[in-house]
Amino acid sequence: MKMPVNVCLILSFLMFGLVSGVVAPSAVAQVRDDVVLGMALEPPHLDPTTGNAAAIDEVVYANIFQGLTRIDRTGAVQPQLATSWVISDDGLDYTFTLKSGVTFHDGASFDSRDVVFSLERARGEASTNGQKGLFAAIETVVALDPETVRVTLSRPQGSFLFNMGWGDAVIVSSQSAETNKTNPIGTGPFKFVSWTPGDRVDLAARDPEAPIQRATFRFIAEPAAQQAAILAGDIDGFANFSAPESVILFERDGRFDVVIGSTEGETILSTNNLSPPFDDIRVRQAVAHAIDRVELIEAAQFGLGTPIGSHFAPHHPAYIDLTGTYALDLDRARALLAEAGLTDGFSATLKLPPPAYARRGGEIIAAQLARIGIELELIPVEWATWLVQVFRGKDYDLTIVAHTEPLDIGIYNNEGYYFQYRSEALAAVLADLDRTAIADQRFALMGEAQRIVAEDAVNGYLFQLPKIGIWRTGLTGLWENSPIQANDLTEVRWQ
Amino acid sequence: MLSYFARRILVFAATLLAAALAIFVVLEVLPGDPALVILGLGADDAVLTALRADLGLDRPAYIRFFHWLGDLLRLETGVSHTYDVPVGGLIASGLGVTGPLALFAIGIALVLGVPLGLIAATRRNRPGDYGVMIFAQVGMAVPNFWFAILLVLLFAITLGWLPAGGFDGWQQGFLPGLQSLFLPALSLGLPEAAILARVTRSAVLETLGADFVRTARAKGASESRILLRHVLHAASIPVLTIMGLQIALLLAGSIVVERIFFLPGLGKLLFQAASQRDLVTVRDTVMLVVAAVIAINFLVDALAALIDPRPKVSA
Repeated sequence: MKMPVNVCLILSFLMFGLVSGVVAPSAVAQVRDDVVLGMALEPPHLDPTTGNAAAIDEVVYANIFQGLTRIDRTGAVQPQLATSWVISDDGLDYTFTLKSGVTFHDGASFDSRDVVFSLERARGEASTNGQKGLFAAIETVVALDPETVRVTLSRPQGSFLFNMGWGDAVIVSSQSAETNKTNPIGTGPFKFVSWTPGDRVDLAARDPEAPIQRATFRFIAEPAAQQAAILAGDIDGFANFSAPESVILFERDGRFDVVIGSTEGETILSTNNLSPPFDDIRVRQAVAHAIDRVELIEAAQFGLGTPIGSHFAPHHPAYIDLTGTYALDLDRARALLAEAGLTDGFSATLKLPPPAYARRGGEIIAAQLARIGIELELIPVEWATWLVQVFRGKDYDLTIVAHTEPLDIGIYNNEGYYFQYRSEALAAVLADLDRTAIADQRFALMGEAQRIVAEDAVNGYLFQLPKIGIWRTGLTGLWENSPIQANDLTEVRWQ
Repeated sequence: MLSYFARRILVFAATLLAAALAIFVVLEVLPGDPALVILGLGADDAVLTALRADLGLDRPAYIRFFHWLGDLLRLETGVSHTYDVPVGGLIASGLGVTGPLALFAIGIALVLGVPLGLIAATRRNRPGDYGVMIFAQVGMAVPNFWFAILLVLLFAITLGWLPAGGFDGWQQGFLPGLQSLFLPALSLGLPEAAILARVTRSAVLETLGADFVRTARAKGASESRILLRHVLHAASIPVLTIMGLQIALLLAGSIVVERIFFLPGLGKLLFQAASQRDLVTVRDTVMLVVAAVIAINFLVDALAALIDPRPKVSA
């Protein structure tokens, strides 16, 4: 009677041993020519010219697809498919000279017709481009000869060359544009090999001499799983790791490099400027005076993140430090509330989308505002719900979100934007900015714009979202900061 | 018998129709707009309208529902809003992971749970029984996502025997495939094993007191023959019924476990599609799961009827 039962038991433990025990030790190679990077979000498809998912650019930008210009690791505009350009004196005509001898991955040759096709497609009636606004100033695009294109704008636009460097503005071929979602064909140094939805995208280098021949992006959403995958050696690292709480663990581990950089993500306490009592500037100023950014970054971000005082990235040359505009001062905050007739405080809602910075940050903000008598009801919402209720429906008092588009202070002038803020002064400054192409003047105007939104306390300005890079020691060339959302592999190699 | 089957099939079809309606209505009521999720913060009104038309979302709900029913009847799937490929292909590739994972987990549950239940029943109120019952209690109480993290910590990070997650596909070979599914299957299968151990124990104990067991003993059958031939046979009916129910739980559990082990399975597909409001993928996948669960329960009922030695009374 005992035998069969014990045999079963032994068998089951044998199975355990068999499966877990048989693992070949990994062979140690000389210098690797492959890289496996993790990403938190999976791209829905691989066409950067439709939709707006950052994860698409994180796979394809500069690797598979290229634009007329490109944004480099410092955020500067560099030539890419256009080797040079001439701007007319009135700032309306851009004449681009294109690179010769370029082919798409399917062998089709690249010339000015592809540029005309791509730009017309992006700004056309049926366009589903996620950043159609980038092309709004374009009036005509004309191919002068196979290697020259002239773009004429309807109004001067200082940011035009920068705009042409976005992932949404890459050049595609008319032959493959329709199938780029699943089989992206670009002009970049890496070719698309395969995509396993839910799991990975594989790329291969076009140049057989390139230091990285095979690149794989694996999609791992769960922070605990991201950490495990790096520690177990399943992947070589994360250019943008999701768990600030685990960074200290990697810093103490000699096998990994931890590189903390900056992103374009201004994390703000978005405020509905038409929702009482936030329609009163004194109330918004009181909120600003009550926010303790140092405490917030320590508690919600484990110390990672740079305080901001306006809607602008601290690493940008035009940044001015406005964190002192409404310095932490609870007495002043209470006085302002009293002036607004809210001596006893009030209650409001704070809707929190899923990212950890928002959910954790929301708890801290609620505790900080409670000190001046503002009682916040925390309402967690799903991302899709947030988009419909908060972003489109403007049905909210406060919310926390990171605005990750580069140089996006212009959203404060968008009619019907969810902040529901209007300022004639800001509109004038932004109009000037649009007309100016000279860097120094542009920077001065950007500073002006930063100051206006900071002084109007449109939103609570919290911190710049960090870019937490964690990868195996020996891997070099990944970006420290992310001036745009990209995992540019062109300079990546093993040492 | 024929009318019995005809009735069962009618009930099956009616359940599916009700499920389809429920799924569709819930997804319609849910706040969220697939086009808005795709376009995000940069959404421009004209582009949103164009994309909605592209996705077919500008048509009234009842037309989309009947369209979907038509697809279902023809056993066709729609085109995913997010991935822009037929959902059928996504489901097939997800099933290629979740199917083997669920089978593996059930295998572990059976191989561990039934023998442990037997041990406990035959050693009732002795240390062996207590040991098994403690295992069962802990196994049921420990959430599988936490257990999964512990397994990864030990086997992937500390010992380095197994990958921390991911699945490279069966084309890499059977053993590597089995290796990458082992930890997820264990974390899914262990709580099930705990439940099975308990069910087996009580079913066996109940059967041990039955008249036919006393008769068999009186006829001089050996204890092991009684246990394996008579008792286990009769006790397998409740065990089978519970297992049928557990398969539905396994599918739910796979949503969590696949996230932790970043497996490209059905659970991950469903979770992602729901959060991105990929309505087409969600409804087709849920429909498939509903159909599978109903079919499995039907099969379990049929099997139980076959195993049950008592004469059947015709309805």
